[in-house]
Amino acid sequence: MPSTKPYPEMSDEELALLVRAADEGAFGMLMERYEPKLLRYGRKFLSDTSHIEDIVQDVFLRVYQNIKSFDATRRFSPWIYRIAHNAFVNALKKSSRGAVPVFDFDALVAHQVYEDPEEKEKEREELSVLLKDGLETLSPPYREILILHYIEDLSYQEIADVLRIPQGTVGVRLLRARNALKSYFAQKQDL
Amino acid sequence: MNTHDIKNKVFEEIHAGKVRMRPRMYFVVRILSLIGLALLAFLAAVFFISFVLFALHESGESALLAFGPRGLGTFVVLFPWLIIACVLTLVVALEWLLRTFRFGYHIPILRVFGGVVALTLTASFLIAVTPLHRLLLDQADRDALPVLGGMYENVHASHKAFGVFRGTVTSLQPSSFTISHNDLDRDADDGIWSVIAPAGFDVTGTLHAGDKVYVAGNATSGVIHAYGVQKLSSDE
Repeated sequence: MPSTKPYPEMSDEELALLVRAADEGAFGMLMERYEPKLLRYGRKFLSDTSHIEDIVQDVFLRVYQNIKSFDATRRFSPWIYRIAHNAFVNALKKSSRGAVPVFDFDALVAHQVYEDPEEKEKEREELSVLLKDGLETLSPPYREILILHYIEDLSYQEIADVLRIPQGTVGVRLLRARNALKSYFAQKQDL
Repeated sequence: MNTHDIKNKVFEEIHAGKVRMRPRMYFVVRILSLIGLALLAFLAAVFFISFVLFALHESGESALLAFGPRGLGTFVVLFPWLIIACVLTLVVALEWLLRTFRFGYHIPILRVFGGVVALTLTASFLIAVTPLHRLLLDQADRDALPVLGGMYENVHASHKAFGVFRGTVTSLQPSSFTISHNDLDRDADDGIWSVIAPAGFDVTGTLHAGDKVYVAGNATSGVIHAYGVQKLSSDE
């Protein structure tokens, strides 16, 4: 049965279902919701942001093209972030400034992780300044995982789905990214 | 470009028909193709590994492992590494295909790889004990097996150059014996050889006329100075 709620009150998943039935209004609503998020994600992740709007536009076109592959029993945000991740990684590959490792050694073995929301809030406060000024100093995989977790607010499980890596790898990569960020600022203060 | 620009441009592209929504069938076919490819890679890997197990047993080359360091060296030289390289490629392809599925990328790479290898080996051992490869070998010997015929005929290929022989015991002396080999195929490994047994090998106590044996040694003028003799079971 079609939903009678106005678009702004609908969840992303409800809107996605309407888009599948060629509802343009629902697609417009989804674009309005995700455009600022994807632009922010891209601006923080990419070194060259001159074509960021074109890339985000391309992401939305891919969303429209592939919307029938979206599993409505799952959350919409990891699905669209996955499309954006692929588009941004392709853009990084094209630019000479962003080396993306071909093989992910962190995904080789199992890592034990525990996601604590309170700990996350504490860390977010601690890292707020560092995230603002130090992200560019990190390699793309570390930069991206910090953006997805602390800026885009995705859970370990959602990041695992976006990056297609085990949850344990998300935990260990976040830890390394935080440490790399902290050590960069510690070195900067020592100078 | 602001929010409305991006949104409007996306709609322009859609209205102009430059981008169309892919039908659900497209994704179903894609998933089924991936599953089919993964299954094909798995079956091919199982087939080749079980063939290697069968070939090592059938050719008697597994006996080389019991002949000390020299036998081990010859075993390594004769081992079908090319087939193993093909299998490894298939396993890596299978691993990559599995990682396109949610259950695949949620498990660490080494664990998936270990699981794939364990499953492939288990299935290969099971296939190796079925008559499948024996039937295919018989077909290859009758020139009735296209494509894989050459691979099967290599099972009986002569390895005289590497000093390994296979045959049936025809006569016995206290420290030597004679073997003959004729597997009725087109291979160049048929003949009669006198075998000087390795020191300490109890020829008359171990062997009987009609036994099938696998011999490793240096051959000169029809005489093999053996460093290893292995009696093969009657079905070999």
